[in-house]
Amino acid sequence: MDITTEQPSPDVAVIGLIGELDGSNFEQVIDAGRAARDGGARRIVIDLAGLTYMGSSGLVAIHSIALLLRGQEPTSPEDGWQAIHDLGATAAAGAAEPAVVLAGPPPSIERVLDRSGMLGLFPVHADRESAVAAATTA
Amino acid sequence: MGAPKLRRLIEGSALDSLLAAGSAVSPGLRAWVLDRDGTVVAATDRTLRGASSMPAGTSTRGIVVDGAEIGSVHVVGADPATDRSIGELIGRAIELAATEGLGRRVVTAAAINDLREHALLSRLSETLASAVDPAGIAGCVLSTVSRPLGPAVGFVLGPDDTELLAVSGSADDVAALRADAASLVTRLRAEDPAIGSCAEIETPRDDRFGTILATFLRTARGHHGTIVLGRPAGAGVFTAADRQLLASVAGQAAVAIERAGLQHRIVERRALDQELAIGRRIQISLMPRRFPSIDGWEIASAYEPAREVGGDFYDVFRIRDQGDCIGLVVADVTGKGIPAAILMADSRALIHAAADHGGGPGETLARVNRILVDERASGLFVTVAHAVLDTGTGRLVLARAGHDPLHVLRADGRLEILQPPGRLIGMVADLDLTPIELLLEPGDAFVGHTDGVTEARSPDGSFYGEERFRALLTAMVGVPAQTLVQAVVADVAAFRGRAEPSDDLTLLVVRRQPATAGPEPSSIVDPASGGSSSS
Repeated sequence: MDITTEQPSPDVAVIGLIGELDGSNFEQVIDAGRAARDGGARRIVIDLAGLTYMGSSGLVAIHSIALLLRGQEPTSPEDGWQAIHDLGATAAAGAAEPAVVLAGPPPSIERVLDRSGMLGLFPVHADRESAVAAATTA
Repeated sequence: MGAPKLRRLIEGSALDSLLAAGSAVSPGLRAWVLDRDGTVVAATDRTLRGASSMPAGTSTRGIVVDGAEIGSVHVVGADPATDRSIGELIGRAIELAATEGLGRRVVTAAAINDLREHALLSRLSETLASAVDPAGIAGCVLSTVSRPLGPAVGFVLGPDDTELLAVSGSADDVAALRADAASLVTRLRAEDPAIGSCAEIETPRDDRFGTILATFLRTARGHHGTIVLGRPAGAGVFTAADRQLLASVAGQAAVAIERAGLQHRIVERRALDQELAIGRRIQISLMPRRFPSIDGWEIASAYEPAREVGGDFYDVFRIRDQGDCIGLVVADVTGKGIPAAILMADSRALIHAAADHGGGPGETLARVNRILVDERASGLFVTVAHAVLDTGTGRLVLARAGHDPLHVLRADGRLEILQPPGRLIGMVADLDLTPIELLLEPGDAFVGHTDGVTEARSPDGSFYGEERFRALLTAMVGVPAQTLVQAVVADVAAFRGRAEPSDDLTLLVVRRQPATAGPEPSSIVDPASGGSSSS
């Protein structure tokens, strides 16, 4: 899978994904999100238009990037069973503050987002341009 | 007249150089060259006067010229094997120098280089035998060459040209050397020299280092690193002999690094395999071994764990104090290995406990989610389809938390797709879940699956897909649950062909028997080999 990153404005970054997103590479997507955040991004558009497949690991990656933008570190499965989860922050995910915006999911990817219930958590736009516009004005 | 005196055949200074070379590569080495009458002709330790005062354990080698013994070499140092090697080399060099006459200086110089190289490589190979990682090996290399090639500042770069595996010298000196050596390393990289012929010397333009010597650590398998040495200005330049020595050392070290890397990967692989195997055993142990036997109902399942990936589970259980009600679960954890197995075991227990509260599947999954989100943040999520079936009435209540759609194959061949709203478990506090209710009439079958079915891949990379799955289900109208399960498993296997399964495959079918059907023989099969059935 290829990952592209752009920063159309100081606090908005666009991460483009091309190929298949699964358990073998989802951490690279999280790393890209972390790098964008460290580069100043407050909102990240994830452009899904180039994906031919997204497994449940893709959902983990999207959620982890949302956590990163809220200043939290995503919990790693290797950390084991500890830590009280910040309930308040994650409950508000997507509703009040769309830090992560999804763009252009192909039908199969939209299906994965829909049936896992992720569509209700993050705004989805038909294409990159409108997603960036929404992220910039928010 | 007798045999010639050794000290007449070869100058003391040449002998001293030979002995000094020996002690440079084997620190603490003491060596003596004695004339045949016992006079000490050369020694690393001038305090020794005669053969009688050699320490115990000294290796002795006679020096023979024209068939006559003209003297002897005595060596005592780190260990007998190295001592013997060095003694052998010194002895041979002296014999050559003595017989070559006019060429003895050249012979001696060449012998000194051979001696250095040989002893160095012996010592290196002993030290490398115990080094298990690239950084350790790099450290060994630097400490081994620092004396014979000293004085020098040095460092070893990893294969990425950025990571420092080992350094020798002050941080300041090493940093300066890195800067000075950058162009040399780049030039070497561009030339892409063949294995074993890749050491270069350069004279940098600044005042700190007189010469720089660099070589790659390379094997047929690839580039493993770069060794760079810098000799301070005024301390003498690196010679061609030094370059040769470093190249030999690099060759040996490269093989050691490659071997260490392979071993590391093997160990890592074994550890990973072991973790996956343990996770796998936990998962299999949690699968139901038999289903409740209920009049008028058939329950069948398939469970095919993939080799590496894991996370599916399914369950059928009686709900406490709810008479004819049974709970049905099909679920899929993100992730694999032990963390996924733990989440799976936990989810299963939580679902059972919550279901016994009797609040219905929506309430059950909401409870489970709250506990997992509040108390057990693990970075893993689980999709769950959970239904409660009243086997007396056929009423089924279904809650779906992010899981693949469920299906009902009606007796008349209609296929209903059930995708009530609900978010996957473990991510956020609110599942936004709405349960649905339906009635299973005689001949109807309720089917749950995981994406191991629909996302099975053929050798050319295409997906089995929902269309094919639904078409097959529709074609299976009227068959017993076990037959339906077997048909799906066979069709997916045929589609997959030789391709390796990339995910666990799980299928659960609960069918209400048609009014006229007779009882089927019940069977209990180990879930690990394909599933269970009962009717």
